Amino acid sequence: MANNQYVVAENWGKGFIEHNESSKINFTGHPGNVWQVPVQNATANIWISKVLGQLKTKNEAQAIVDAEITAAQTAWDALSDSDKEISTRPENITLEE
Amino acid sequence: MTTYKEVIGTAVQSLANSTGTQEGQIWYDTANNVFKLQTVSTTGSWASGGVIPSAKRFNGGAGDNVNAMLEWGGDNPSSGSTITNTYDGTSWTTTPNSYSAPTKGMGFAGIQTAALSFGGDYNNSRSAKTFLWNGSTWAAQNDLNTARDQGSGAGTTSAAFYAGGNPGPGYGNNTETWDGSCWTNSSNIPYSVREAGSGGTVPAGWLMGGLTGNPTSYGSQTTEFSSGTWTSGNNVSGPARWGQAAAGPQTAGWIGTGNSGTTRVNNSESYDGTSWSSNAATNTAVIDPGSAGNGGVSGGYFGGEASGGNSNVTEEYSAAGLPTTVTLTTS
Repeated sequence: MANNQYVVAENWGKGFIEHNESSKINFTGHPGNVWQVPVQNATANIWISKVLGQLKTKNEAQAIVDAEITAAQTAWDALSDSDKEISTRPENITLEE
Repeated sequence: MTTYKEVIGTAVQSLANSTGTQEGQIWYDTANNVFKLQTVSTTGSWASGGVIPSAKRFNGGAGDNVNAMLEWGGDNPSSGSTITNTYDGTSWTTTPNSYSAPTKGMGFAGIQTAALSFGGDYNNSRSAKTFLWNGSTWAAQNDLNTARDQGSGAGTTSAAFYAGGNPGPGYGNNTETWDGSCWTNSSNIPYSVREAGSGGTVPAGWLMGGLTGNPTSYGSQTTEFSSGTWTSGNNVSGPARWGQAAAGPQTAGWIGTGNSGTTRVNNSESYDGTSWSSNAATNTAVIDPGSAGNGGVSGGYFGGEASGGNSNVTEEYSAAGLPTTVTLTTS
């Protein structure tokens, strides 16, 4: 059974995630405004409603993250050697069930 | 059977929300039909803050609480920035007076109205320059003895240190202390390191982790700077890392996010001068953000390099003790 659910929601800043939310559940932000929160969890579900999050399947969320990372990797590959020295090539991310 | 009223002296109140409740109070939530306990958080926690006007990393940060932070410079996105912004606990405001040239990867110290910025990559050159922020403008001060970027600094405008870094190219162990007017060489760190987390001041500072010799070697160690010498402290309990957010005095420091090998992490820990304890995880994971604050109160980090590129996100830290409500269950 899946432990996580995925939503797309833009972080508008103050109030997007509150202390009383992050102290109860783990939020993990990914590229493409993809957020990972626990499934079947009241705090997570209330938060998704608050931020008007668009629910995505794991595969849909993975595709969004992959597209963002591929673009970032392409941009990194085009950097000069000196710029590469002070940065890291964006790593691939595999979303969890 | 003993009742709640007999023990506490009052009956359990039925309320629509937690407004007006006190720490330790049990109340019945009429909106959700459950019993709740009003308590306080037992670990530090993170919340979203206002976004900075532009995405950046390697920016400077100053401030001793989340409601009065300063950030400047940084890599925006691949060239240095001159912009200086202030944070009021809700949003960032760009100040009229910018840094004198694009700068990134500098050491930083101080508070929103009195900050120090030193070293870094200044106008595309590894630099020894030092600048003082008086709340409205940056003014040049005496240079460091050794030019370097990606070192670790902390302190105030009258007592600060700058340790390690990249003297070009590589990893350094130099330490210099600032007395309000000049930099003086101090005892070296026992190892070479760059992009370590740091906090405290002179004579009581600290370093945690960092890149220690090559891109795949990074630390979990704490090293304390006390009265001019470096001594070993305890390791963090979570992942070793580099490029993390960090701030706070030696007895109330915190770290959050950073890079552990090839993976950005969102673990956060607090330091009490002896050992580290886990906080709630950060909501985002980045490398080399600006950061500021006090682990016993509040603070935050802003910007940094996320997996998809530079970030404009602010994450606000709050120490344990925030009012919170938990639902009581029979299990």
